[in-house]
Amino acid sequence: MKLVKITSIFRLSLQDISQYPAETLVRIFDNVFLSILILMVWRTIYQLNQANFEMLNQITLFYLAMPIFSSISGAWHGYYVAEEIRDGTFSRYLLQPISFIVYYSMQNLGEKLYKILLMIPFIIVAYYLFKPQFQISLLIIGISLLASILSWVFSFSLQTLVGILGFWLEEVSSINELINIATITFGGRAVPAFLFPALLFQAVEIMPFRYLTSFPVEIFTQSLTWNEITRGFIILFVWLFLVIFTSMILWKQGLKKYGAVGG
Amino acid sequence: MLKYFKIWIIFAKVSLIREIQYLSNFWMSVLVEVGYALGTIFIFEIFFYQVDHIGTWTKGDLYLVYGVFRIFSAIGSFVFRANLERFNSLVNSGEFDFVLLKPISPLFFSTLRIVSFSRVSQFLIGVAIFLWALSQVNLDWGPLQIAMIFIIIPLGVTTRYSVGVLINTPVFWFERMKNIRQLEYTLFSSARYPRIVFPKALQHLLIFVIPTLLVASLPIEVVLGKASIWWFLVYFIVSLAFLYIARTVFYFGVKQYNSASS
Repeated sequence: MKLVKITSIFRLSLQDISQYPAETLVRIFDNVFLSILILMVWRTIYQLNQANFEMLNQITLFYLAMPIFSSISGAWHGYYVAEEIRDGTFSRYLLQPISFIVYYSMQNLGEKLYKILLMIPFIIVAYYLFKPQFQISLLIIGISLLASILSWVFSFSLQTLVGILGFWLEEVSSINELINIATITFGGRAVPAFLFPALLFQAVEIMPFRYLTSFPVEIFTQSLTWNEITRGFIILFVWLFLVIFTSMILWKQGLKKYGAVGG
Repeated sequence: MLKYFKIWIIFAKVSLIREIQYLSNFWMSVLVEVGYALGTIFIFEIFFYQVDHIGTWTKGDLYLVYGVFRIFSAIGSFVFRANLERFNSLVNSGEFDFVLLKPISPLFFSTLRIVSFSRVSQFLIGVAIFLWALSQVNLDWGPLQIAMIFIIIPLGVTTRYSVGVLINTPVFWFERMKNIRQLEYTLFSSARYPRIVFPKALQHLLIFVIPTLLVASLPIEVVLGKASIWWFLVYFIVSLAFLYIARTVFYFGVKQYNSASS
């Protein structure tokens, strides 16, 4: 029975997003354009200064893979959860036999699947334009996919935490913007972590932002040693635990507050 | 014209009162703006950690473009960005009915009603970066360079406004375009980089079709003596052409508008 509920939400999410292809195409263009834009800056830097071809190739692959991996690991429901808490519609999750986490995760997966399918032609065109050369083993593909699924769980948990903050805060979009800035800056969206100076890389390695997007892409582009991959997984698990633990505590406190407000 | 200016002053007063009521939002906006600026500076520093220059562009040149970009973005955010951000909901919720009933231009009312005072911080950051960059570049200041700097800013604001209106107008045809406002931001993020970064075909696209390179990068090239002064004339013509096209497309879109209840 529970599986039926879950698949229904997933199906509804797919139906909902496929009704508005223009909106999805804009999102995809947005995602791919940003990656290509920064890729062009890096290619110019490397080509004009005749820097090493291997690194340029790795950077190209990184930015072409980034839109797909960031789509897999992306989550964005924090704002909507906070809005529902604010306007009271969140009560439906407390009254109906379905958790808001299951609801939003299935909705997220439905949207994600549709977006990734539509994104593939864009990536093929971009691949054809930039022609990166690479050889990749099934093992690396498997590990990077595992890392991107864990990144999604982490990203989803962080967004849930942001949403739960809606019990106390008037609006959470600024928090999301700050997370976004930190992810672009330190999380590898603008600059791959393997291009950071060594000391900065060590600092970025322990920050949570890299694990929201860039870590799986770094594995995929084979920019990390096995030690760095292992360390990355450990740090990712620590952050995941911290975020889930904090969310559970805040959820209990917030629910009491929500009950009091709703009477 | 004077009537519209007086109305805009009233809009600004109302906006200021609203922002003072939500001071925490104001400070969060300031924090976000500082974050965006620091993030970009960090990225530029990583670029120049790898190399000394990008083609003929030095670090100072790049920061000069970024400073100008922040300044006109700040003015744009102050004057119209919040309006364009809620344009989609204005049309889809049917509230646009009330805009059409007002005895003033719907374009003016729907795109210039909210004035965002919290963006003053973005302006100050832009000015600081611009002044610092000026001290880093080799530039012989003459009346022509000063005049060009003063022309760049209003033309940049006008172009960004026109492109913003054009990007948001499809809302009249497509029911749900919540994220379209993000597209404007993404496209204009290319304005922070010099022209040489882009392949020739894309350069033409970003000058004449989506004129993001015209708003900061190309005029600064002219000021620095890296490009012909004729680009200023191109900039002026393209900017006015886009304003005209944006206005025309907007009113064409208004004709397609069906109230949400119908």
